[in-house]
Amino acid sequence: MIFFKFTSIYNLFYKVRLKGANVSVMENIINKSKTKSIMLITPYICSAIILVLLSFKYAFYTIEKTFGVLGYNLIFSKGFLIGDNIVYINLLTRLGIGGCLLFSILGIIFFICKKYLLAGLSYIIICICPLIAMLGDSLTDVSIVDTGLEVKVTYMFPIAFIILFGFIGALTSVLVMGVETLATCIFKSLAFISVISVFTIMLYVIVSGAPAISKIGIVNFLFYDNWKPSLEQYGILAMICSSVAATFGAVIIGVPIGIFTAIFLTDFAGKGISNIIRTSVQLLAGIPSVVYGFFGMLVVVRAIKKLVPNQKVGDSLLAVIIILAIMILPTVVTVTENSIKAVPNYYREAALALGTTPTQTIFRVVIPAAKNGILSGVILGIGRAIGETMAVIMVAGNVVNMPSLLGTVRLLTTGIVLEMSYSSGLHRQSLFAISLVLFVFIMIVNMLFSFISRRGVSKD
Amino acid sequence: MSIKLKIRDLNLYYGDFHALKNISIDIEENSVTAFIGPSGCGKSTCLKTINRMNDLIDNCKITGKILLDGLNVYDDNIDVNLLRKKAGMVFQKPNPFPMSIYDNIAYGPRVHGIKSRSILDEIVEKSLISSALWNEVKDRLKGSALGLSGGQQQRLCIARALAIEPDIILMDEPTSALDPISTLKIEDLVQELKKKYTVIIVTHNMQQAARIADKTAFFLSGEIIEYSKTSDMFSNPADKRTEEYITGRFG
Amino acid sequence: MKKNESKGIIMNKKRVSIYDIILQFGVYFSAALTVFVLSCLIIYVLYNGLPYISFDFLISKYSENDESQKGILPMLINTLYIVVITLLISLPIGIGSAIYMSQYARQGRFIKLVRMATEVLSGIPSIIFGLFGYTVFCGLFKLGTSIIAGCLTMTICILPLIIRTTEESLNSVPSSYKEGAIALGTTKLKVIFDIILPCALPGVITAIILAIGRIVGESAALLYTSGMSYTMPKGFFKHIFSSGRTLTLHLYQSAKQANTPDAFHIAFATASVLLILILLFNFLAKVFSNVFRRE
Repeated sequence: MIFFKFTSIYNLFYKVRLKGANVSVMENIINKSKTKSIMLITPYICSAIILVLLSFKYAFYTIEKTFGVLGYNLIFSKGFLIGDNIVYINLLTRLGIGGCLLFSILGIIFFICKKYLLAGLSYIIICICPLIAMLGDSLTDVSIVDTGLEVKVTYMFPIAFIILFGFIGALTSVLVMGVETLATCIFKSLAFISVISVFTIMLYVIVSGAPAISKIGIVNFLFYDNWKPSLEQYGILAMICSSVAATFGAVIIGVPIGIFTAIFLTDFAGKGISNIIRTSVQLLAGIPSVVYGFFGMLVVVRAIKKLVPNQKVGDSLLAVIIILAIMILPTVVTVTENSIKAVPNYYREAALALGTTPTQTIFRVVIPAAKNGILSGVILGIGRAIGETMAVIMVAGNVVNMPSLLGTVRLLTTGIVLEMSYSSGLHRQSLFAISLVLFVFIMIVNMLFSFISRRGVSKD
Repeated sequence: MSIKLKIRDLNLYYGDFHALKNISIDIEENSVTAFIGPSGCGKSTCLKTINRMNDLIDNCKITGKILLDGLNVYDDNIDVNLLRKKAGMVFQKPNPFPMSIYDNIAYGPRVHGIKSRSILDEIVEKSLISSALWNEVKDRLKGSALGLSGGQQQRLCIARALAIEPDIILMDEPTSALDPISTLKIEDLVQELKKKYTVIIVTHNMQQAARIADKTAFFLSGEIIEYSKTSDMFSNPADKRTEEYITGRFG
Repeated sequence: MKKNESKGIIMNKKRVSIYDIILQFGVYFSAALTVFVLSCLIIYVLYNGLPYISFDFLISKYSENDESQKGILPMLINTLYIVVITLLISLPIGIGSAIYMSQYARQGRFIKLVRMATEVLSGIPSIIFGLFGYTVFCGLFKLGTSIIAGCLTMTICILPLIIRTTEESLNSVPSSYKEGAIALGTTKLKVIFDIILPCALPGVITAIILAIGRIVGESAALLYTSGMSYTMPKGFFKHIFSSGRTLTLHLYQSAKQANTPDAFHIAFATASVLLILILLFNFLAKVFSNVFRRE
């Protein structure tokens, strides 16, 4: 009876529209203009609420002692006089709160003029205003450092503003546009959130990474092997090479095993066995990377230390490669298996009919036919290997060295994590620059992936 | 008999494809009208324009008028949902919702605001009786609708359409997915329904049209070639193409 | 069936060449190796960890110095907080966008943009999310290292997963249901809430379980956003704004700092708890997706 749980929630919002709908007279098909009594009251309620909220203590400024500030004070007074210092209230803050007042008045005017769309827009702007005010205060913090006073701002009502006016705005738009249009808008803006996140992240990575690169010099940064932050030397060639080497090694070991396992699942194993193995491979994909790291640290690293003669520490590029190879297995196996299954059966039949052995059929006919799919699986695996952090950090030894199979290494990802907590200034900026390099790598891999998977589709 | 539905100069385009060309037709009240024609001739499309199901399709453009009781259904101030309540529809494949039989039929009335349990019970019983399904399912109203046979499911869909008290019932090849016995039952049902409702039925089966329809329209590549009394059309077709189609020379 | 028949006809021992034998060996060896590695990992961790999991371990507090307080209750609570809050934020967004993508959007630029965005998001390594969350949520939004900052970061992390899985299950609802409901005069929104969402529910639940698994297992994105504190919650809501380490971070920390066998026991026990949780979620997801497929 899940059906009517959804229904009952929905009906709450829906009742308005349904009044008198069950009379089957033709005239009823025509939309009658709805009673707008609620709409007429809305603007007055809104403005009243704004006026009341502005006369409450809107924010608390803590400068040596705490001041509770009314909303009106924030608009009309310039700032605080603390001893000889004047702490100005940020212009953005004042604009933000002034905006609330202005647009609540505009909202009424638009309502009375029956410009409902503009009125709704005003209420949406009122929702955004407190955010602008808060943003203004984050700038205050920066500017206040000069005066030597520490300022902390805590807000009381902005959240109430946002929620309340979001609700009133939604209510108004329901009455103006109907539930359907509003729902479409809401769903569309939700879908837009992921787009916004991607662009913000891109922007953020570039903006925070670029300054360090331009200060250090792109050649000095990318192509010199001298990572000594204490000496202001920031060359990350060793990290890049280690990352590439580790990924390459993981692919060399992991991909053949993955492809062979996938072939085993599709062509060699019975249904029962292949189901068991498939489930366990999927399990492998779900295990947290820290657990892999832990396993690597206690088993792989120790094994390397014992088995390789003259090896003092087990943490090494080899350990990283082995752990990464295990971690990319599930991706490679799953994608390869799917693309092998997608090869039409008549390929096999044709080859077998020519007298090829089953094994040769798979390796000479089926695998080449599935190569695009397999390749995209490999690229997904590469993406996963480059980005892996926590498992690597536990087995790599984390010393900045040019890669050698049994030596300790530091990868791009681990480079960021290790020094983030205590870095500052150019050092921190250079860590952001490392994340930019990492991001560029990932984007290249992504583009390769979408290029290859698209080519696979167009060929079929 | 009075005219229930008038279609005037109806043109419909899917993108560049001109699917319906200058359709004009009058449908009488309390009658069964059949649309026949080869596949892809636009008969289903024409049916779907009446309750505006074509609105769901991207880049579908419609010009012309469809007057239901004298009101143009493509007017801007028409509430599409109430229009669809007036013009019930039965689809080619039985499509009961994955709920109980009772909830399937009560769904439409509930959507249109009927809450009272006793009224709903009454509607369910009445619709099931008029779709000749009551005796078969009255003991298992709470059972899943997906457990019924194909023919029963289709009659359930008819009952579901009847439950919202439509004026017109649009049937889009309702028997094409059914066996002959179920088909017969549905045909009998259509004869019953025309006493209270106006029925328009799309069919690719000429015998079926001959058996149940009062008037028949013959569609060919988006045009109505001929529209006349069923008995006239099948005994003495006016157009040569109609004759060829009826005698099975193409289609 | 056909494949097996043809296999049977052509199977002939004499024709199997050395090349074939090597390849076949490779196939069996790889499959065995995959299974061996997996079982090794699970058995090793559980064998060493299970003996140290006791009820006491699960419900006692943690302290770095006090030997008697080595439980994981705070980490369990923090993990629970992060899972619940992240889901509360990301589910409406994820399901809403999936509904838009599958029910409202027409093929066009916007849809391509959202598709591309989710694809890119799912490819970005979690450490970059971590850095982003650290500067934007902790720094710019002034949330500090806190559980809520971790949750916001994780929200972006798991959005693609939720959107993709939900969208798939919404798309698999037969369009005849939708048409039938619309022909009854139902509005689009009501069709979605009455018919499509309930039909897609098992798929949505699978998405939620997968997301929970992902959140429980995540570490790099949370390292600098939700922090490493292991104190017990001081207030139900206050805790949201204070720092707290999850199980994964606890495992990382205790494994990194371990120097005595005793210290490793804590790490093993934590790893076992994690592993059991993940196995459980995987199992649940499988059960639900099977239910879904049967319907």
